[in-house]
Amino acid sequence: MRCISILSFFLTFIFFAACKDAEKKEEERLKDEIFAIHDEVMPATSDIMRISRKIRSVKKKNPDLTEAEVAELESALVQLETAHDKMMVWMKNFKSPAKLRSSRTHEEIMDYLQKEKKNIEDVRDAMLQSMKTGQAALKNY
Amino acid sequence: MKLLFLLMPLAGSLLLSCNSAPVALPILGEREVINGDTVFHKIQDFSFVNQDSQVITNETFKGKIYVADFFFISCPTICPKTTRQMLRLYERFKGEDRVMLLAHTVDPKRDDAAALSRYAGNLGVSSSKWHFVTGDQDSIYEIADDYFSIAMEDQDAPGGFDHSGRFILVDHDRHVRSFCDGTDPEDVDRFMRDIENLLSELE
Repeated sequence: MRCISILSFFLTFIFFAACKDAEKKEEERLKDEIFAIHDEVMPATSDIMRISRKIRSVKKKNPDLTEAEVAELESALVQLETAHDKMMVWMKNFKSPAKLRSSRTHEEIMDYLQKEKKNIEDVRDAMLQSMKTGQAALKNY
Repeated sequence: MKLLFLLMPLAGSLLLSCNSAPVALPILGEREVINGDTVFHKIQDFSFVNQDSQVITNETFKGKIYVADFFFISCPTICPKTTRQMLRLYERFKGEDRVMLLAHTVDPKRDDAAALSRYAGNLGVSSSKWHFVTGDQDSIYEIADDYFSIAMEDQDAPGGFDHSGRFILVDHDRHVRSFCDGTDPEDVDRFMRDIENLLSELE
């Protein structure tokens, strides 16, 4: 009898350990998906800065621009800087599942990561869109 | 005659040892010929502020060689790897005053001098060897383009080099002499030998 209870204790333990491991893998997989999106667009932060610099220099070199032209350049600049900032803020705030495990359940972590995946997708879209806007604004110069 | 035979292996080994002496590192980057003289690419003037709020310029590295890289504190993927490798360089050249490290943050909005000071403090490194600098965002990205102009020649992918984790070796005369992938320990091993090699030029 004692033997059976010890055995069942061990089996339960193994079962829970295996579950925990599967949960951890699921979280890590989602985190990897998030970072794949991050890694895809992170290098574009340099391009964003390059386009911004170009716009600033165009503004400086052309003091006779019309109000509408200045407004177009400035609005593109704001978009570029906002997108760049979005990425930087996202990175600062993102928490890896390893850090969350001590204080949150698996479901809570998965919820958090799902939201972060959506957030990084938004960051990516904002970055790509801002580059398009910036390049379009520079087209006439 | 016998003496000559005896001397020949000696001469041979001397020749061999000459051959195995390190070849001087090339000067990398674009070059122009002006009035018959070749002018090599030089790192432009810069002025940033380090973790102790001191101004760091090209003059800071006068008579020295330095390794430059780009990072930011909240960087989740590449920077932790490159910081580990920079720490290896720090340890290796700790006692060598002629080697300096210069890490630029590409996120100056968040990484001010105080944040950089905390970061350097956590790493336990001295600011007499390793400067973490911040400054005007455009100036940082501009100098990044200047450092990485030499690496771009070898790559198809445009841009993004300030996030590639590359380390750049600059000599006492502002010339870029070598670079490596700061995320790859083996490439950093090779880079360390390049640093030793460049040091021998200063002697």
